[in-house]
Amino acid sequence: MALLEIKNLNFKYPEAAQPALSGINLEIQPGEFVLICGASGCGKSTLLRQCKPALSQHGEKSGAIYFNGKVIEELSFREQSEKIGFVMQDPEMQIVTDKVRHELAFGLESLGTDNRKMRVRIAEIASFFGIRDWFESSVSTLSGGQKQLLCLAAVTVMQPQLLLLDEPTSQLDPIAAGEFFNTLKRINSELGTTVIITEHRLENLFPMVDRVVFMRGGSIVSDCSPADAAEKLQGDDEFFSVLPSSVRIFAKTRQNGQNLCGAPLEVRSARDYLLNNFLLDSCRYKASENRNSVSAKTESGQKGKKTETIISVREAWFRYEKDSKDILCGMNFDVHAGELTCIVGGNGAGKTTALMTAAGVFAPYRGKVKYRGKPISTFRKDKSSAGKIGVLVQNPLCCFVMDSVAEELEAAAKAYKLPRSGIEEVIDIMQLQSVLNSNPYDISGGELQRAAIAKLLLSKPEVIFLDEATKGMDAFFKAEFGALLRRLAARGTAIVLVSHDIEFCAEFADRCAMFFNGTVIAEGTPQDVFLGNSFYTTSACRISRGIIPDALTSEQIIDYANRCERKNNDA
Amino acid sequence: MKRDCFDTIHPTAAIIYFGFALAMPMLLLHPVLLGISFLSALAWTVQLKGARNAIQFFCKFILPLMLLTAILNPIFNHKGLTVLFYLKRNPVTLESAAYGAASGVMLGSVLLIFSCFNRIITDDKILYLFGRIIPSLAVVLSMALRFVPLFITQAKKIALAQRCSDGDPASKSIAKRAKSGLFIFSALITWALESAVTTADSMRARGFGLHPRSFYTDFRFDGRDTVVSLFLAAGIAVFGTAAGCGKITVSYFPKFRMNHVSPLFIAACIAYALTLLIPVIMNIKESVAWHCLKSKI
Repeated sequence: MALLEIKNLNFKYPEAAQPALSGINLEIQPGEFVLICGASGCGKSTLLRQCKPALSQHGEKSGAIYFNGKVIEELSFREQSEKIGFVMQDPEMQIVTDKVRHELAFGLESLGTDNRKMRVRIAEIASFFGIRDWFESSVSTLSGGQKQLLCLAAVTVMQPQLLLLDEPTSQLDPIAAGEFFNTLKRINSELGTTVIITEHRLENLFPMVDRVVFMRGGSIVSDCSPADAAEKLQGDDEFFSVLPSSVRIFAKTRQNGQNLCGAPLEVRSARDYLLNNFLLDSCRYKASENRNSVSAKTESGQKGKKTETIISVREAWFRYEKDSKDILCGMNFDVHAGELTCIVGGNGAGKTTALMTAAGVFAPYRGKVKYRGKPISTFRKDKSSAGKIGVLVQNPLCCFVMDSVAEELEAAAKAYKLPRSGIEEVIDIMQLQSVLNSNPYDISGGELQRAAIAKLLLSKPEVIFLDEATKGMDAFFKAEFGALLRRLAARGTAIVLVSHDIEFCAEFADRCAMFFNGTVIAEGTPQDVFLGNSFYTTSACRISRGIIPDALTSEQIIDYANRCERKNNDA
Repeated sequence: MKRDCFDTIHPTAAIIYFGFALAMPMLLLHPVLLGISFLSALAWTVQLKGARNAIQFFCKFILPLMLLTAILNPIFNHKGLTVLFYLKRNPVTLESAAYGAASGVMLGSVLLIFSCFNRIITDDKILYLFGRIIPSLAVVLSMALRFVPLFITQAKKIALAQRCSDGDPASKSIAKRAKSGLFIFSALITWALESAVTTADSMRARGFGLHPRSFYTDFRFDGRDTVVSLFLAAGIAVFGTAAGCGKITVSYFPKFRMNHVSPLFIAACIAYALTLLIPVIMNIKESVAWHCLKSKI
């Protein structure tokens, strides 16, 4: 019997024109690991919440969901609390109590478990999750990744049969996300817990899951194994573009008629596939020709570089307190007009501090930051220069107070004494028409990011600094966002972006700076920076390492492989 | 931070100890008992903070307060029969000076004990003590403890965002600074309300509201706790008997009078001293044990 059975589920929010879910049929077997993917607003969160009645939204609903053969609404509150676990996006807000162990105990306390049993369960789960080292800690001392692991542990400790996770890693950096997924996989395979997860990071999850469900506009487009995904999504450009590099490479380089099932899901198998099917030395054209769109874009960027340096940071040293550790140790960094620069680097490396220092928000205690040759501190004090440098912090919600996006923009325009026409112009550029009257807290992460940038653009800045702007952004919107940044750069605005997302940087940046231990340790075109790296690079680069020269994106690999002779495997 | 034996004692025993140690000096301003309280509190403070920190803490905060109390009382309180001298036609009496000195010592010992209380009775133990009685109150307390650092972090983030868009607050006029403060506050409240929705969801997802709610704790009442509790009970019993029999009395006005030294009074003093010195004795015992273990190696 299926653990969860969704039969012809339709759901419509009150006063919404379109149904959020329509005709959903899904059957989940016990022990399955299922990934649901789709763009923001496709209804995947709504679907997940429908599977946990305590969290279901109100609205018109038809169809039924069965849990262990029982209509899900008939489960008692106790039963569903115990058997269906739910982990949400934001680890910070989900944690209820102050100490790690209190948090772990929270669910069991609700169930009224006696103390002796609780102690055993908590000890067990703390060992399983490897959180004994920070078991005694206060929650406020944990990193984001640890917090999300704690949320997962706090749900798992109740021994649920079904775990529902709603974009659990959207707020995490790639390494913490990888760790989270590994733990999730262990829960699934070692404890046999059924897992349903919605996620944008397919690259990590594809090799782990049993099934992938693609959703669009409230209905299921495809439901298949990850290896079959490429086959099923042939011709669906939107979904195809978000598939992992290995799957895309396989799909685009296969021989006509060759069945797509059995696509490689990992770097290793993708390399095997390339080596086994192609005579990779046979490609006659030179490696330097293997630079298509990326390098063309870079060259135009370099032309701009010669013309103008807007901000220059020279040997900047910074620390937060006199006796604390140095965050920046002699950093050198330049910002050029019309160039999109990405700063990449590990967690806690000081990328944000570097950004804030370059923007003149933090003043270095040694070294200089200059804006067009003048010290940046005098520039920032100058009233006529207000808004020439725009800085957007990690969480754009921090800069919104008004009830709607439109009011927010008007208030900002008033502060800069700008005419109304200026507002309309940025609304156009950022395509904000549809969310103008919404509350900033109600719109999606991507829309929020756009609204926040629109606010910056009002004052016609020469430089925009964006901190972790791609965090929590879905893969579908990311491409759009990248194009948007390129358009801004083309208008002459310099953009500096701090990001964890190497794929994004490789695809869109003119220049990348790799930040480590207080300084920029490598700087140049994405090619220069990432091609030499073996770990801190794109997955396409990891696939092609040593077998295809100079390939940073999967398109380059596809292009190269299609020019090679194929091996005759029948022989 | 230095380790302390009393830190690992069961919260119930610890809270009884502190209740006794804090209440007695305040209720009975008895000079002998005050002396005992003060010295034992000082001894424990030295053990907890280390001699250097304890002396620093004592000289910087406690001693000035004690002296102030001792000096101010005879200046403003003119009760008492034995006039020492006149200060601008106001009599300064011996009794009042004695009362001031006693109050000073009382204040000093209460503050010292309170500094130990602060260090020993952590949030966890307070939660435990409340949680045993009303589990949901413990949740509320724990949430409050979580919320404070969270609120501060978020306020810092918003202030940074504000600084990014508006420039350094230090370079602005008071009116502008007030305005940006208001902005931060308003953004903070919106954020708090929004995040409360998520937190509520997270609580409901884990069955909050089911009855009866239990309470998780790591604290166990073990043999050592029993011994300490028995000691405490015995000390309090002896002391209570003496006090009940009227063997511990003192009055400062109009003339200083104290109870006679009776066997029961001496017993009560010894019991009082031993009870208050429980943490000190435990620490000494443990360090002796460590010393022996080391010398055996």
